[in-house]
Amino acid sequence: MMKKIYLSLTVIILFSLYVLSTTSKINLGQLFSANLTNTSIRQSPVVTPEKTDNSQPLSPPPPALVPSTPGRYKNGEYIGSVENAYYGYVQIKIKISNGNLNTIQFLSYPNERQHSVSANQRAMPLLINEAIKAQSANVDIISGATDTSIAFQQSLKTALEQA
Amino acid sequence: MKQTRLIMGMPITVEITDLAVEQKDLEAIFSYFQYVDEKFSTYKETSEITKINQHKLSEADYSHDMKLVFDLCNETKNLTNGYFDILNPQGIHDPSGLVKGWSIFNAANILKEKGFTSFYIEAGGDIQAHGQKSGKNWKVGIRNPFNNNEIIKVLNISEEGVATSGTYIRGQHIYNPLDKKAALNDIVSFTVIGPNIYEADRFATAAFAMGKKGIDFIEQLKGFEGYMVDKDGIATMTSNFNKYILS
Repeated sequence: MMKKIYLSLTVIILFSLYVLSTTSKINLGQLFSANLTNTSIRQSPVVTPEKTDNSQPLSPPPPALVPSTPGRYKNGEYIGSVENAYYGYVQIKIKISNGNLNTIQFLSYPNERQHSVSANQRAMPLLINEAIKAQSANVDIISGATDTSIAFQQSLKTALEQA
Repeated sequence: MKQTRLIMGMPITVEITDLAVEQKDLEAIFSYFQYVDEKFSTYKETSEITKINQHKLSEADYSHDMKLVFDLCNETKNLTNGYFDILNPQGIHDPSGLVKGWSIFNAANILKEKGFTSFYIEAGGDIQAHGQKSGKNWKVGIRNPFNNNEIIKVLNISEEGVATSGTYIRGQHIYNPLDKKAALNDIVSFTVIGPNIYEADRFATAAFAMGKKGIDFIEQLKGFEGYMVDKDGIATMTSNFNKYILS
């Protein structure tokens, strides 16, 4: 009986978060991110239920990145080049604060795989899990998701060159 | 001989270890990819797919290869319950998720017809291998989605196709203002091994779109194995994937 109550509560909470996220432009991934640093926690991502007034939507906190060499870049916002990732274009806009890379924002991003996933919980007992581990790099050929990452790095590079 | 060229917005590498290989053999392959790009690139104003998307070409006038690709895309859509769909939210047909593997597969057949016994073609992380390298199966590494310089798995490949879908960007929780409602995909990398690259690629595309359930889909697909990596660096593999593992 208790289990059912907990389950219902969880469903209700998750559903409320979903509704709130779509009406107040909060990025759910930020809420559950394990990588939040101090700069993003300063602007709390948690939504208080009474703030449903859409005339002042809460803006999500900018994702913070680990700063490189302090004071390396000029403060400001810079837009990188548009890069072809085959499945679409990637274009980055960056914000430099206190000389460091503070935010990365996509102006353009390939969205060839934006399908919603239906929940169909079936146990698959034969699947094997493991933590990934670095192996010998002595290989003939490499398979990896390179497309978007190359375009991303290129656009980022051109944006940083301006800073 | 081994060469890499940037076509279709990605590096394409061809390596042929037969002794009788000549430059013109590699040129034939790169020309083929150029042809595919000119016809299927949605980023070229003059391509056939752009004309189709601008409603300047009716279905009756599609070229043979275009008709073939559209048919294959429909078949794939049915096989994946709609997870593979070339019609994107903007109403544009974009068959690149199938064309990539399909064109690599065709290019490999060109080399087979020329009589080559030992080669691979790699385009943007998708691979079609054939034969062996110096008497041993090809060693294919899966790139670490969190670190481009690392390999997380070494595979033993001879005739199979290996396709990896995904992006390392998802793992960094970067805000995407273009699609605020999109839940961040939990999966950062999905590798599928199949009987050839055309098959591996189309199902890797669909499996990646399914998120965590993608590995169940591949598990149920006869003749395919998969290796899926989530944003926390935990991998899930299908029950017979280990037959391909070297390390």
